[in-house]
Order: sequence, then structure tokens, then C-alpha cells
Amino acid sequence: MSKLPGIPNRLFQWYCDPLLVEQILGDLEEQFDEDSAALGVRKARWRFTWNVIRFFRPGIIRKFEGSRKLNYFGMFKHNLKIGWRNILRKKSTSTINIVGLSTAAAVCLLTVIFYRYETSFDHHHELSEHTYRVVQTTQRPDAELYWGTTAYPLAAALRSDFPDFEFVTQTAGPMQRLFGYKNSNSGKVLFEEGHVLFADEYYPQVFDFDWIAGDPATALNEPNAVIITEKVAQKSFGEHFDPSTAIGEVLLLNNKDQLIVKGIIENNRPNINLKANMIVSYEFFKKHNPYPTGNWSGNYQGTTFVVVNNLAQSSEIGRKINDWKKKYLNQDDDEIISYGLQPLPEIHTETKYGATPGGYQIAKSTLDVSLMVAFFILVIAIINFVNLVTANATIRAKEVGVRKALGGGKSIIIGQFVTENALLVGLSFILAIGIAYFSLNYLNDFLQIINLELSFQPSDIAIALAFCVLVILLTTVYPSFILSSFNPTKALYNREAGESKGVGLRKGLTFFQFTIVQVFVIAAIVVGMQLQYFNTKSLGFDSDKVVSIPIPYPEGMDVFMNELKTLNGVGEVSIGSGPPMAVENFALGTRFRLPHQGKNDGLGAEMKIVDSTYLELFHIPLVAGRNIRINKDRFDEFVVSKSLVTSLGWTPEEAIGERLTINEGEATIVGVIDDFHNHSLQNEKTPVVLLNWRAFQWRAMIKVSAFDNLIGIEEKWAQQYPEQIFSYSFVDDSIAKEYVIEQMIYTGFKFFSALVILIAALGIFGLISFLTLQKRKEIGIRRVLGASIAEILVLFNKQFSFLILLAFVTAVPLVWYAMNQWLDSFTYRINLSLWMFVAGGVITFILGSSVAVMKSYRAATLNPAESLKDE
Amino acid sequence: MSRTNYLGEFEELILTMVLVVGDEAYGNTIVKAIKGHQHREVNLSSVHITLYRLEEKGYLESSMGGATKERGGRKKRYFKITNTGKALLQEMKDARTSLWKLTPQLQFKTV
Repeated sequence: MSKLPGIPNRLFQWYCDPLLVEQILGDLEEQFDEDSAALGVRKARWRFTWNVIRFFRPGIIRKFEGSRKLNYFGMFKHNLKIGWRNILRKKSTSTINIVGLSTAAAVCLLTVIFYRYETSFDHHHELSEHTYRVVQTTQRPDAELYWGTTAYPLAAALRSDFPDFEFVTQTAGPMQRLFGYKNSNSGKVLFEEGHVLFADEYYPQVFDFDWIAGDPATALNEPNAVIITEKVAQKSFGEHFDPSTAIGEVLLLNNKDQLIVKGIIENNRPNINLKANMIVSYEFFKKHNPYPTGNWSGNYQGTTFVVVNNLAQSSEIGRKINDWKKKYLNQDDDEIISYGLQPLPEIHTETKYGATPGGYQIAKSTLDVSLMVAFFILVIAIINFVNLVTANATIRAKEVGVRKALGGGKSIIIGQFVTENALLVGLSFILAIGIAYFSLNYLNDFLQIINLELSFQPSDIAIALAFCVLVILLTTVYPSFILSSFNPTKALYNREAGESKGVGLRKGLTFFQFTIVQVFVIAAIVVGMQLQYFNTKSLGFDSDKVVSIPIPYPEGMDVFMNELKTLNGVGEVSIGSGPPMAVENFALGTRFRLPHQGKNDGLGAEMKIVDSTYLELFHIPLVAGRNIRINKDRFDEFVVSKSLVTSLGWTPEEAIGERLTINEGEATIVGVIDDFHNHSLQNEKTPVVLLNWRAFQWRAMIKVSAFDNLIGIEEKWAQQYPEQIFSYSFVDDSIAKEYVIEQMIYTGFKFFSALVILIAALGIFGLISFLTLQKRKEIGIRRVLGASIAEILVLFNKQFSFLILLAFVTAVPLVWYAMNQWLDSFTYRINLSLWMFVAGGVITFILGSSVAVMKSYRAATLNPAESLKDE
Repeated sequence: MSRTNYLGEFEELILTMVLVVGDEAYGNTIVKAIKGHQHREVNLSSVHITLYRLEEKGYLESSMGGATKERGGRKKRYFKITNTGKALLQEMKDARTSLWKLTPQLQFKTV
């Protein structure tokens, strides 16, 4: 007798209803035996297989194991329904959970988007992993200076001496330039462009742009070539220009030099460091600036990038460059200057060497802190959730008891609560995605100053989903286990069964929550005070109502100035290199020494070109000597600051008449002034040299009495510089802009602390309303026995008050440490004082307890007859 | 004849065959009987399905039994017609006969 074929046999036994296997398989085997006797084994096997296939039909196939799994689905539907009813029934709890969780998740999501944006700068270039910025360190006797820019001739020298580099590219700027375009039919277009980058022909090969027209490999080959963005093309050639004919058009730089359009690129992505709306050939820059571009000792806004083929070699190459530099640098410079390579993707977040010209940086640590802050907000919301769910456990103890009595296993009850909570969390996250999506625009507006263009990407939904799952896990696991662990007999017998469950945890979480809240509130107060200090601290000069306007070229400057003085309402007019405080990173650095000292003995100072009205205009008092008299082509008079005099060992009076040398030349000290803040308050003030030079006279500073005076000034400007575009800024505004990051941090903290207070208050509200419900009868009995309303309020609030107080005690050292660290980054800082902490604590306490009192007052004033009447 | 008592052609065949085969009625013997009496090849699976269906409808009853050395020592499920089944067959037969009587063309003129 031959055996049944294995596979069909097993297949049959797998799919067949176990109740039928015996009889059918018996019949099949009987037939198989007969067949194999009559037709041969092979044929019998085929027939058997065929029969097995034929038996695969409804009525024979086993019921889906199914019945149990299918019931799962039923349970799931049931759980969803019960969950939904619970959400609807407990409106306040559900609202608190959803509002808290969705705002927190939205904030978290936005922060992640922000973080990703800020860490994505210049990551998109194909060569970005291989590209490095050449950075410079200068060793001075008093300090080590770090530069992201280098001397202009460096790139060409590296290119010829180091074959290891795939590309070496040099840029200058971005700078501000005036452009014109003459068109036969539409006349003339004149515009000022603030982001003109000069770059050599390798630049478009290292940095990727989206090209509309032109060839990246050859676009900048000619010395008068220019690449423009779509925006500039639209400005010059009209809204609907034709890219193919735009190539080859001529733009006039400063109304005289012809530049030929060789390429058109899409508008800049927001997340690149070197913003450039026009890229002009570096050769052009070199031709017009022969001195700086040939000077190895200077450092003027030029950035050098190199592309290294083999990443492993980058550190070795850095060493080689430092051996090689003596070939070009003079001996003095060679001793103090060293070079390094900084990876391109790190430029935006690694602050040591500074931002690229015209760019900004955000330190990695700041980004990390913001991520942490957002995370804490989410944690606070999660705590609310857990607290409210476990608190509600008591009320639901009976339900759990009934379910268990009816045979619901622990896992089924856990399943129920997980589904319920997941429903809430899921709803919150859908809301959060919506909130985040619609608030992106507001956030972009708020952070406009740093040109933020955040956008929502599909991957963000994935991030939100991952968050969501994580939050579901965090929020549901513990409460579900608490709820499912009730003993049914106890739960059904005694309605207080669940009361003690999770109380310790709830207290712990509330404590933790309020620690975070108080850290935030106190931090916001400290940041606000520091900012106020910035805004109100005496700077040593007075810049109220002073307008600063750029002088395009020296010709006609004196005429312009005299014209301005004739205007009504205009006070002092001074022309010089800039206002007393260096704004927009513009400062003329120099070094000073006694005439007999060597060049490298010089100490750092800032030089300011002024005229005889400068001190009067800015109310800077002289301590000794006199003001400078008249500006000359060779300067011969210095007015110096007190700290400079002190560093040379003189008193102000002794200094008058002494000779002093700065990098630019030698002159006599004629006056000494008090120190003033020549840098924004994050930084130390430095010695200052004011001199009577007829160079760098780039700005006119004008005292006005009213905003209307600007109209007269603009008219004079138009007469004097008809080809130029008028622009102005108030010195006060420019100074305020120096604190824009601090202002941003302050606004952020205000917002975040308001948010955490809100969420935590919601949490208290939820907990108290739960407590009042639970203690309804107790309160009634107490009232009947003569307790006053105040006593009952105390009963409710003493626990929370104690927790807030405990949290305060914990928060103080934390925030004290953190804020001291932050304040240490400023040279001029406030000192932490007790009142800031107390104020933070009191604000939190008042907000927290007023919510608690408000909620419990209703319960306390309820007529005992009402609360005791049922049952 | 009401709609609930309706039997398909194949069901009627199987039900009849169970009656014909008698005590030895189970899957294989019915297949063989159909082959023997009707010269018709039917698949075992259809027979089984139909048997179960008839049993569900109450026209057949079954019992396990007769473990033999053949067929891997597995038991057979024997089917036996119930009284309802018999009555139904009878009813169907009568119904058909009465219909037959109404058909004129079947009077054989040559006889």
C-alpha cells in the first residue's frame, strides 16, 4: 500500500474543518488505494491532489480560527465606541487633555521643524560633505582672534600649490551695489541690490544652484560675467522675461561698468549661508580692488572654500597649509596667523569662527536647548494626561469590576483603556498637525529677521506619527495597568477601591510639572530683566533721534553736508565711519602702540573716523584736552578713550601731546574721552581711537527733531546724488537690532512659560474637579457639621500649595545655575536677585491656586442638602 | 410543495442514492453507486458537501463507525435517510407523477 502524497495531505489537514478531517480523509485514502491498484500510484497521486483541490470549498474549509480573532475586531469596535462615549461624557477632562496635548505636540513639532531647518544649511550641495571653509586664527598678545574670512590671494595660491584640492574657490561679499538696466522700449530700471557676491568660476561648480539658463561650468569664465536670480531678472527685464533672451543682456554696475548676464538661477533657498542674488565674476572685483585682493596681511570679507577629495586627508592638509604659508606671508604675519579647515555643513551652527558675511548663526547648543524646552512642554502635557486618567480610575473602578466579573481578562481591560487613550492622543495629534501647519506662517513672520522660511514637509507627518505612538505608549501603559489591576469584588463592593491607586505618582508628576513651570517663569523674568538692562543701560553716548545715511562717494560730500545744515529742524550733522556703537558687525579694527614698539606688540582697538561735530552730536564728554579740528588726507590728531590711555600707563592729562602709532599711521593725542560702549553689550567695550582722516567717511549722521525732517533730507539727497537710491536708519533702531537674538529668546520664553502655565493650570483644574466630584458627600457632611467655606477651600488647596512650594524649592537652584550660565555669556549683565525667584514662584502660585480655588469654591458653596440628598 | 422543501437535482440524486445503497452509505460508496447506476462521474467533494447539507436540512442522519485497516484506519461517516427525507422523496415523486399525468404527448399512440 503506498503512502498518501505528503504536501496535498498536509494541505488538506490544514485547511479542512477538524470535525470533517477523519471521514473525508478516510474516503480520500480509500479512493487513493483503489486508484493506485487500478491506475498506478502516479495517477492515483494526481487524482488525490486534484480531489484535495476540489475539497477546498466553503463548507469544508475550517472556520476561521477566526471566530476568536474576529471577535477581537468586535471588541475593538466596542472599545472605540465606549471610548468615544467617555470622551463626550467627560467633556472638561477630555478638553483639557486634547487642548494640552495638541498645543504641546504642535509646539514640539514646530521646534523639530525649526531645528531641522537650522541644521540643514548648505547640506544640499552634492559636494557639501567634501567642502571646507578656510578659517584663520590670529594670535595677538592680548587675545586670540578667529576669522571665517581670509586674505584674498590665499585661494589662487592654494589652487596652484595644492593639487589635492578638487576645487578652490574665492568669494568676496556679499556686498551692496547699485545696478541699472537700459531698455529700448521701457526706459531705464534702477535698483539697489544688497546681496552681490563676487566669486570665481569654480564657485558654481562647488555650490549647487537650480539653473534656469546658463551653464554652471562656464558662466563666470569672463571677467564681466554676472549670474542673477529670477527675482533680479524680473526686476530688470520685467515680470515675464524670456530666459533665453535675457542671457547676454547688459546690466550697469554703479551706472558705469557693463556686466553681461551669463546665467539665471532660481531664487536662493533660504537655508544657505552665503546669500547672493547676483554673482559677479571675481576677476571684476580684483580689477577694481587691486590693493585688497593682492594683500596677504588684510582680511576683508573674503571667504575661501576648498573641496577635498579624500575626507581622511583633510586634517593632514590643514597641517600642510600651515607649513606652507610662510612662502607667502611676511614673517610677522606668519608668526601669528594659522589656518584651519571647517566643514561646510558646520558653518551655520559652530560659532567659533563666526558667520559668513551677511549671514547669521545659531549655536548648536541654542538649538539643543530649544529642542529640550519643547520636549519639556510635551512632558508637562503628558503628565496632565496621566494624572487625569489615573484620577478617573476611581470613578471607573465599578466599570472595571463589572467587566472583570463578566469574564474580562486583564489583557482585555488593558486593551480597552489603551484604545480609549489612544483615541484621545490620536485626536490631539491630528489637531496638533493642523495647528502646526497653520501657525508656520506666524512663526515665519515672527522670525523674519533671520529670514526664516519654514515649510511643512511630508516627513513631518511621519515625525508626528512617531511622536504620537511614543506618547500613546507613555500615556496609556501605566494608567491602563492601574485600572486593570482592580480586584473586582473590592471594586464592586467599595466605591473607593481605586482611590489610593496612583496617588503617589500623581503627586510626583504634579510636583515635577510645577518644577518645570517655575523654571520657565523665573527664566523668562531673568531674560526679560537682562533685556531691559540692555535697552536702558547708559552707553556713554546719546543716539536719540540720530539718523544715519550712507554716503555713496566722497565727491560733493561737503556740499551735501552744508545743504543738510540749512534744513529746518536738523541739528548737528557729522560725517564719519559710523555711530559710536558698531552695528551690523561693522567696525574698523586696528592696533595701537608707542612709536618705538614693534608691530606685533600692538594692542587691539577700534578706530573711528570722525569730524569736529561728532562728540557734540553724540554727547560724548571730553575728559582732557580738546576736540579734533579739521579732517585731512593725512590724519594728525587722535582723540582716544580713557581705557587706551590707562593701558599705556598714563593719566588722561599726561597723554595729551603724546605720539601714538596705529596700523594706519602715527599722530598726536589731542584729547581723551570717557569710555563708551563701542560694541553691543554682549561684548566688552574696547579702546577707541577717533581720528581726523578723510577716508572711510561712509556715513552722514544727522540729529533730527521730528520724523518729517527725513523728507527734507531725502530732497537734498536727490539733488546731490540723483543716480542713487535714498536709504536711512535710525541709530537707536540699529542698536536695538543688535539684541534681536536676545529679544527672540525673551519672546520665546514668554510664550513658552505662558504655555506651560496654561497646561499646568489645566491639569490642576482637571484634578480639582475630579477631587470635588469624589468628595462631594464629604464636603456636604463637613458643611452640615459647621465647617466654613474657607476651611473647605484649605482642605482642597493645601496639598497643591505644598507641591508648588516644594517645586519652587527644587526649581530655584536649577534655574539659578542655568541662568548664571546664560548671563555669563554677556560682559554686561544683571545679577540674579532674590525677587526674580520670588516673583516667579508667586506668579505660579497665584495662577495655580486661583484655578484651584475657583474650581473648589463651587463645590464648597454647594448646598449640603443638594450634595447629600441622592441615594 | 413549499419553497423550503425544495431539493436541487443533485441533492435529490444523493438523497435517493443513500436510500439505494442502504446500510453501507458513505462518501465513496455513493460515488460508486452513482457511477454504477447512472454512468455519471461525480467528484467526492461535491458528494460530501451535499451530504452535509442534506443532513443539516434534516433529511439525513449520520453516525461514525466501521474503522477498518483500509483507509489508514480512519472511521467512516455512515448516512441514513430520515423519515422526513423519505417523506420528501415520496412527495417529490408524487408531485412528478401527477405532473406526468397532465402531459398529453406522452401517451404512446403506437402501442
